Amino acid sequence: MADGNDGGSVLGVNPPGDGAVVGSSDPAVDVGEAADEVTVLESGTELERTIGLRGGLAIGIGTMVGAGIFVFPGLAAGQAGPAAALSFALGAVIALLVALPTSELATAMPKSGGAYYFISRGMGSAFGAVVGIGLWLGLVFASAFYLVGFAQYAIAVLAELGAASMVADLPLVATLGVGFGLALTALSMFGTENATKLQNGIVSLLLGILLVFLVYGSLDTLGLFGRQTVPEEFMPFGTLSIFTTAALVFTSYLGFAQVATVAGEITKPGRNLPLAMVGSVVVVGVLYVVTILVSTGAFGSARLASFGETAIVEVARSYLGFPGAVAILLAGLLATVSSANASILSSSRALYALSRDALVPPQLARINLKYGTPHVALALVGGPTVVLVAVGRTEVLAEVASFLHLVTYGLICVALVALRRSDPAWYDPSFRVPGYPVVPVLGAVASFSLVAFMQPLSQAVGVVVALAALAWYFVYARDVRLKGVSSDA
Amino acid sequence: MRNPDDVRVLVPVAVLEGQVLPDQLTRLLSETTVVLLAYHEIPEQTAPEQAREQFEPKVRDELDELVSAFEAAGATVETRLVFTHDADQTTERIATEADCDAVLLSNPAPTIARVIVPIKEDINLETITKVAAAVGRREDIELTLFHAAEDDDAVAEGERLLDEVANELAVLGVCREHISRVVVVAQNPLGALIEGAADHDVVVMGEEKPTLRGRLFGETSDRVAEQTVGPVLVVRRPLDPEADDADADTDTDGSG
Repeated sequence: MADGNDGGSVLGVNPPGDGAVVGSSDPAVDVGEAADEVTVLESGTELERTIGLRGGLAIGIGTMVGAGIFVFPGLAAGQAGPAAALSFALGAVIALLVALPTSELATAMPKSGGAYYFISRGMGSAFGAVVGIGLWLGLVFASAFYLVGFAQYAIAVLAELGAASMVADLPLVATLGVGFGLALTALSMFGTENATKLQNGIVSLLLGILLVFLVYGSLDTLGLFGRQTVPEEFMPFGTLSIFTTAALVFTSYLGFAQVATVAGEITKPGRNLPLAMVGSVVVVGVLYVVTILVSTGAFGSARLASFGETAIVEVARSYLGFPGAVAILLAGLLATVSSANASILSSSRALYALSRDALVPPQLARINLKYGTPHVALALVGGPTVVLVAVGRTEVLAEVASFLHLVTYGLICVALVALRRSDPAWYDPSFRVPGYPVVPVLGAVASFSLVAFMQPLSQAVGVVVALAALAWYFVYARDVRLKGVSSDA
Repeated sequence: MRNPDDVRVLVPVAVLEGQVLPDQLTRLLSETTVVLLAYHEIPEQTAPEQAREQFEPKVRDELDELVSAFEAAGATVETRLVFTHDADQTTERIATEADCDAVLLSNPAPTIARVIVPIKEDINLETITKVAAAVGRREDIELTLFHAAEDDDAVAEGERLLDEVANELAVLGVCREHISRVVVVAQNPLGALIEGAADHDVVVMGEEKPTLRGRLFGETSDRVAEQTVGPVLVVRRPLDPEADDADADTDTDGSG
């Protein structure tokens, strides 16, 4: 097992005096010297690593789990029938094909900014700018999508409480989503103590609720408790629907790469980064597939689709009665909030990484002196997010987010191949992709192909964002040459 | 390898938060090797790299001032500069890496003349004695050795223990006239210590429990630091290599 690259010292404990002199010998890429628990920069300054494996898994799972279970089952079943389970499985496979190359790059460059950092160093600043800006806005779209999901759950709660007359009002979704988006942004700006511990707790609680629900639902669907499943054709809308649905629901897998945005803070990066990324994809992938099978077993896909975003609540009610519905409503609120929160924080990290490289103005990375938080970057995430919540449709928000991420994921795989081929001296990952070059090539092809199955509107918005990012690069930052690039694009 | 007589004290300072070390304190540690840990704790929303870029020059300036102060008092100084989300984890790591005998829990210290050293038989006596000697060799320091006995029968035993420590201190160069001994009978040793510490300026005490990540010191020393007005020097337990391995296996879960 790869065990960090701290030169064999035990437990990340350097002999006294040694800590001040180690450092990256190659000035081209200032990755610092990454030990198990600290990064030591050339100046001798140390950056403590404080996120363990559990914290990394919580970031990955916490970002992802909100969408696949609590928003998509109804929508996906409406598009693909029970075969939507295959769409989710396909999404998981693609996510894994990308997660492995991302792990290698992250252990070679355990820096803030994740995907942006890898691609700018592997492929040059033009690609870097497109990906960095794409990541920022992709996460903005994703956050908006989660907030809309949250609003749906909040409305469903109101409905349970008997305030049903208000539920049909569409503005309610926007009002609740915008209000909560502003609240989350403000919380991040003013520095929440123990946010990570809270996130870990929420994720554990969520997984607990889901496990009870899914295990009971699976046993019931298999007929153990005498239930008749709704008989239905497995693939009522044809094979193509599996792929288009996979493109839609891929938003449920945006999250594993967020682990890489905090790569600089993860302990024992050589071991914990790959485990956290691959582990979180596997965990949520299994949960999603089982959820779809259980849901379509309960209602049949046409009925399920009619329940919309909160379909899973009706599924829980049919299996476990009123307490089941309440538990899932609570879980839905927690999951969508945790996804939105994690995305907002990751997005601000992406902006910071861009400004560090002078691709956007340096003021964006300013840290508030009173609260110690990057308030400008957070405002630039929260602001656009609430605008999108106010105007956006669930499917389009989800697909644009997926589009921008898939482009990034494809480029991550390309960057890995580029770096392996040029093999610069500083490139020394402690985790190496198994099955190179097949895995990264398949990852790139799969990522780019999935984009082709999206709705034309989502594709158009995605292309406009990418072109705008490129235009920004040529107007503002065309002189920027990023250190460590093998060949400038 | 380090000189076994050398006493190494970790002094964590939250720079940029206006924490100042009083002159008296730098004088108290003048005969030790001071490992000065300047740290800046940042919220989880902020990348440590990001904070470093903005604050490093300022932190370095403050650190340089502290170094000059300790060096002027005669101490040998080593420095560490860390940006962290978790100050406790950082303190623990540096204390281990830099092989420190004691960690300073800083409190304001208007004057430093009287130092109290609680002694228990089972706590790391050798290192406590060494650290107490390093502090107590100065002409202007009075050392009080303190022992809380469970009942009257244990008083004689406690006096014998304090005599041993006093002899050892004398061997290490502390003037006998500056050492006084107090044995009290108390049901609540911690309460007795806090009461006894009231007319002293500094406490030198042993760490109670094995170090576990997340529980930096045995609660006792933290409680003493909270309830006394002066600084507390916590003498670390020697590391037990096996306990350390166990810690390494569990810390992937513990630090998240």
